[in-house]
Amino acid sequence: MITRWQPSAPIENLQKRSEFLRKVREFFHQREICEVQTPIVGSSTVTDPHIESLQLANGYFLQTSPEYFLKRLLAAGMSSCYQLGPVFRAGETGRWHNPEFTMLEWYRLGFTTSELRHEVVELVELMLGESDVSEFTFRDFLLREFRLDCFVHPDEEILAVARKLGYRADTQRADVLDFLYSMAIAQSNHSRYFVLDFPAESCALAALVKRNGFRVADRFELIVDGLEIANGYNELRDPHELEHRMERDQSLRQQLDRLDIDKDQRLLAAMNTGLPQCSGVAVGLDRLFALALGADRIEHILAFADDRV
Amino acid sequence: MATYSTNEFRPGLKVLLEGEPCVLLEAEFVKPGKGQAFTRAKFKNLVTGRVWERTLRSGETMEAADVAELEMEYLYNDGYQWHFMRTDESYEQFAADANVVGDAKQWITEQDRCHITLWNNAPISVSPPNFVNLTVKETDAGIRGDTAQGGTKPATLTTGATVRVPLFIEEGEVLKIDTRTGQYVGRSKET
Repeated sequence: MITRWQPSAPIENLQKRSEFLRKVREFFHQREICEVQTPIVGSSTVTDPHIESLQLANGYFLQTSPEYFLKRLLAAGMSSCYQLGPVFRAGETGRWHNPEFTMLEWYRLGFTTSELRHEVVELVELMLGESDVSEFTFRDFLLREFRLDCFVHPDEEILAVARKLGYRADTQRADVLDFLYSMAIAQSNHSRYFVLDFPAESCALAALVKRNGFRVADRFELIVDGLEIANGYNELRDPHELEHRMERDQSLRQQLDRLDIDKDQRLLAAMNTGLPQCSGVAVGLDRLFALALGADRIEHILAFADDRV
Repeated sequence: MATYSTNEFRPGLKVLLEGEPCVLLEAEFVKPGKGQAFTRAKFKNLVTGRVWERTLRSGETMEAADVAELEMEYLYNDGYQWHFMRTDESYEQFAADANVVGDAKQWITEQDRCHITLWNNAPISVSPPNFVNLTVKETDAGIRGDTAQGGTKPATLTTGATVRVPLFIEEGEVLKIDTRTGQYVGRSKET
């Protein structure tokens, strides 16, 4: 048995990483966005049915994103701010996933998602250089790749397209759309693009808006070379709607036989006081750095990946 | 029957997919958007050799396939079936039909050591040795002067296979052939 004590990434990559981190902090400093540090351990966590938190022996959770803490800061009067640090997601291991990873999340007061997308592009160009960035709505994206109109075609037709592409999991509409979305990303020949206006089912904490008569989530993702790099929202501000979504998540979690997660009462209380209008985005910083280095696995930018911690 | 969950997936795993024995070539964890996690996997069907891409929900399980790869000696062909014998002390014999033997039939001669893949104890594929020595049965007489140009000509071997050989090769010579590419490697040194 060989004991793998050495780092996952070459030392040169870790030195590069240090430079990248400095550049990112400089980027926010120039824009007068305040760096904050919120706890990575909390008594509560997300109810999202597809995100599993790691739980400590005292019942607390390693945070899967600083989102709730940052929103509580914003509700208390914090200016536009960012956090750069580790987050944790149980069971996510793969070529481009590590259970502990580095998330850069920032919130811009008064920004629309379109304004925030511009800023995301500026950050990405700082790391990867300039390149064309296309924008597709979720609906158009699937139309282009599969000639499938996910807002109009019946569920059976959507499932039939998925089956043809090798989908063999269950038939929940939202899951089938997730699958088609991942396949569309895998086969798209664009290198850098945003996908916008997600189906209302995939709203997470994004506000819902009406576009061309359809209710969609005002949300975007940035894809670079087939990898999801950023996920941004026009932040939901209605506390009742938030509570309703948390309850919907909870019943989904029960159906899926996942751990029960209580609603985060502190977040709800903060939202009741009032979250200012803002847009926020989370960036998978390890992936972005890996792309900047031309690495082809997340561990090539991590000092010690999950198999060596 | 044993099962494997997607989080146990690693290349080389033998599983049943749609009732057919397959080997897992690669698997990737994907988690689109805010949605559920999937495992995108490539399987090679061990019977047909076709590669299948499938996407499974993470945590889903697949049944293990009872597949073994064994070294066997090729004994003889009775006109319908090719007979092989295990090289361990068991001397257990197995018969395979033309479909199972596939391309290997044009390379193997008696006593060659082959790799036979068994599924539920029945042969499903035969891999010939990487290199075989075969005698030229038929080829045009070469013109010696042309060898400098490095020209080639077809030669039919005793097993029926046709390979491209240099012009200087004559009938009756024993050649070394790489069965993976079907190419002539050189004159056999074991004549």
